[in-house]
Amino acid sequence: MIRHHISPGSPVFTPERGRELASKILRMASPDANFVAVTLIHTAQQITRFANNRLLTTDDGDDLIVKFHTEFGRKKDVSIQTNQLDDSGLLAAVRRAEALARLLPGAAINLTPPQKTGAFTYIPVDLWREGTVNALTTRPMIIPDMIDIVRSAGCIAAGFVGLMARASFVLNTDGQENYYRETDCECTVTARTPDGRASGWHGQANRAWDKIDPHLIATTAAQVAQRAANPSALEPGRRTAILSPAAVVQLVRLVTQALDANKTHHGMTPLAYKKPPHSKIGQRVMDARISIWSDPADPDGGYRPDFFEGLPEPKMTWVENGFLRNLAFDPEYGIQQGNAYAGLPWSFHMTGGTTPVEEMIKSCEEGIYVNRVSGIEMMHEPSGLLTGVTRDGCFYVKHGKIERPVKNFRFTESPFFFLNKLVSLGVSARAAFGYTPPSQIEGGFRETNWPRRPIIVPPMMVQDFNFNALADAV
Amino acid sequence: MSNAMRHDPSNGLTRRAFLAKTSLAAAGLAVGTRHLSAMTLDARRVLAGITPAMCLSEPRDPAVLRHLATQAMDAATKAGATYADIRVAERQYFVMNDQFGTELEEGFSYGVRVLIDGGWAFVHGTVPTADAVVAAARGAVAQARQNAAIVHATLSKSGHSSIQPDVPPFVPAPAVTGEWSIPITVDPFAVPIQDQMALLVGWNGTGHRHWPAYAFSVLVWRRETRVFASSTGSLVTQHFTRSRSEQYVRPGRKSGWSEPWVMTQSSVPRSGGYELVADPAIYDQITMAADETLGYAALPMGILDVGRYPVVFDGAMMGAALYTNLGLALEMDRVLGEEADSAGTSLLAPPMDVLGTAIASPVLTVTADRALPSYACVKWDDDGVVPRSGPVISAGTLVDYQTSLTTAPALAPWYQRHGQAMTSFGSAVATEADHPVQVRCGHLTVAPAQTATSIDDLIRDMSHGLLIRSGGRPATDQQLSSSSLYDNAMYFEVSRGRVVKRLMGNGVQWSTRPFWKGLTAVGDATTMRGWGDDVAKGQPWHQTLYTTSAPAGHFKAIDVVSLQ
Repeated sequence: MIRHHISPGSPVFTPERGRELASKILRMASPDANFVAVTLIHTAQQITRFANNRLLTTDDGDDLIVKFHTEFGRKKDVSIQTNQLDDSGLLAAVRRAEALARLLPGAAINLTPPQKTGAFTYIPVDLWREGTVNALTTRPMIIPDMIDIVRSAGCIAAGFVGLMARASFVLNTDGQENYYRETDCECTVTARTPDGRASGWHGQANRAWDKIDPHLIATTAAQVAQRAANPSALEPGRRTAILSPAAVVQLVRLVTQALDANKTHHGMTPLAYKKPPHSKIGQRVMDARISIWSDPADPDGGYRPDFFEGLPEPKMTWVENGFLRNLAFDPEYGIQQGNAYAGLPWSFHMTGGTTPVEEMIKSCEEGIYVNRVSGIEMMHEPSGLLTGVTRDGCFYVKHGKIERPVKNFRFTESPFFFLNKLVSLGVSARAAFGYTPPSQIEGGFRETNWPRRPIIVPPMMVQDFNFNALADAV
Repeated sequence: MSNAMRHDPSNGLTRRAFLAKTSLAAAGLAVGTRHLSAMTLDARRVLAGITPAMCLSEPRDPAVLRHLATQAMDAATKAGATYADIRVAERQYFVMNDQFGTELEEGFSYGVRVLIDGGWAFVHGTVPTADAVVAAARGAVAQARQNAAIVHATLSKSGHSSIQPDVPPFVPAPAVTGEWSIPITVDPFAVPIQDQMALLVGWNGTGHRHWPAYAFSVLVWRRETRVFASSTGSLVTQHFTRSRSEQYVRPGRKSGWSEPWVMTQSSVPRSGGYELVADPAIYDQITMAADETLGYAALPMGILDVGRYPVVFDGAMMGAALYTNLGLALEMDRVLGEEADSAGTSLLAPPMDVLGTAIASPVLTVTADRALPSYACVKWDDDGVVPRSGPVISAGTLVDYQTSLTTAPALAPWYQRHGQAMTSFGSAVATEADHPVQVRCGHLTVAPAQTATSIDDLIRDMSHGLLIRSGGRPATDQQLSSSSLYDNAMYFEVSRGRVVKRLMGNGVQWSTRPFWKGLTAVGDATTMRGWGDDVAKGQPWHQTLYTTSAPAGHFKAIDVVSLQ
């Protein structure tokens, strides 16, 4: 159900309509402003939730936000955001922003990078899938089958189907202009046994709805729940862990925070170093098989190629063959330090290998297969130490086979520890997050809203993973 | 330390806001909430006399919001809705601290909920015209019909022929009409920005006078007009003014995570106006916090051996643990399994098996309310129900849950057994008007001891144990059956009844049931402290603020872990 109808036939505005609206707002600006930027973001969503083997509700709608940023003289800038698009409301917002900017006798910080004039080159991205757009307007009738699959397995189904389309347009008085659009989908199912003692989960996320297989998701979740029935307790301790992609993506997503240059230089991340340059740039920080990079044009993930009123997002290599190569400098800190700037890597791609999970299990003398984890919180930021709980399928592996389901564990681990204790890696692919509200350390960033930017990770087998306590939670 | 969470719906922030957020995060704070209109400026440089209201749009006449709401309900009814309701709201938001400037935000939104033949649908939007809300209502009706077809298709596959026999039919609230405001003396949006900045500077100066203590303060205001209307004739208008102002003190000698932050007693989110922060007693509280933090910093530091120890929580920590372990577990949608694929389930399920049983020590009595001055205070919840105030845990026994209209019927047998009318607790919350209605726990209050019992009294008989202060939110699990706490709290070693060391490098973990059954004593009213933090729920997730008032508490045992 689309409310803005800003571009007939499209759930979000087209480049022509975006340029028209942004240009109109830009023309409202006073000519003596020395820099003005207009950013439009239009998001349309279609959500379906089910639980207890029945449809709970749907949640549909759209939202169009206008950001107007103005600067008068050096170091005097004000930004205003509104979701009200009538001309008189927009003009009033522009005038209020300008009036306040003029009143400022000189702001404290100039966040304008010196190289902003002239045309920028934005990495071309292809993140729009017509199949998702069609599904947004027709709503796939998959819920009864998904519920039936889980119910027929003797389990209780709960789940989520989410589709999104988004467009953004940035235009500024330095001649920079960029239109970007994306679609995204996520489908997850939790299957619980009627006695409430076991559960299974599976999920997929993709830009294209036709790449999502709801039947497979429901079937897999149910199968995991069935296999997880009647779990027994296993002594906590350090054990070999075989981590599914859904588990890995939760365990590594806070690496984003560790790559912040400002925090690192102040000793607040595992990548800090006492001596100049006060970071471990150039040092080995992970297993040599691991490389981590971010690229807006990544075919498996990708993301918006601009940020901060029209600055281009560069492709960045963070870790290369285990060596730290770069940190993320925000524009202000980058200018101060004389470094290139980039957004925090909310989306990244981690190299994998070729070992299937089945082979990892066969090669495992004793260990734990972890289907999923949740409740990830940072325990100690300087070491990257996390806590969380396994869920929705935890199995004891012995002599190369899954021997039995086990009760869940609480764990304390750091990706900067276990990524140095790798045994084997599987093929990297985009992993579904499922329900993932912000950890306390991620507080407030828009990128934690649904859908999170894609993270591409492999399943992996690691040694000495710290399952430090039993958890009663199912 | 509480965290107030901010959601920027735009892709990225303004440059100044980004800096503010990064720096605040580095200082251990992040401030804000979801916003659709924001302005940032350096408040220290704003000319005298400019108020937050002058920097924001003139609020719409509430009659406009009521008109839109009634148009939507008329449209939904004509389109064939069995039941429909709508929340239409306009909100403004203002946050300021003396180091990182000021942000002002505003937004307009609405959400229509429709029920037809067992199928629920929700449609939201932000276009403030009659055409748009009518289209939203008609769209919700059309979708509800499709959803009803899905419900029937699901039932027929399972062999059921009637509508969900395990789900009682929805009974709307009796129609309510009226208008209500949170009573305020001074509108914070009418107080000049410069005066509010002077207040912050004055607070921080009070802290700095006790150098090496260092103070940090923030003022956060939110005002909202929210209209609720239903197809059964409800039409209510509420005006909320809410404060999340906080003052923190820590030693200024060193920076980093090792220095203890102490929050003042007034740093609890509440409903009310500028009079909440104009209280001169806050300066005394800052002085007390400065003395306290310097006292802690003077203690020798050490690390405790891993093991199991008795522990005393101060009131803020008690409130944080209570909410995380038991408060969230009382939310009926979670209890019934509706959050199984998102936030999780509840260890207090199934309700008919748990109600009337001991879930905690007899020392624990907890009441829930949405009354003044709590941050969650409303006259009508987002179902149009007048919230109740009452016990949820009585002398350790579970006696009630937090419910909404759609979830309360699950407790009908319990109410019948006790000769009570089956009513919703009034816990229906749409975190914003364009968010779906969820069940959210109200303000929780733990009853203090009636006899004089200070924290010193609680630790007096402790031969070797822990005292934990501050209100960092514990991490929990998907069923709320265990928790852990690490960096965001202050730990002290207690030996022979006295605090002897500040601990660095330890964390704690506990299992919910044995922990709360091991509560041996609570402090008296002088140990009461408030706590508040944002917690997420739903998919996509939405956050809202939860608050508690609790005394200190002594627990038999907690597991101490090492971070080293």
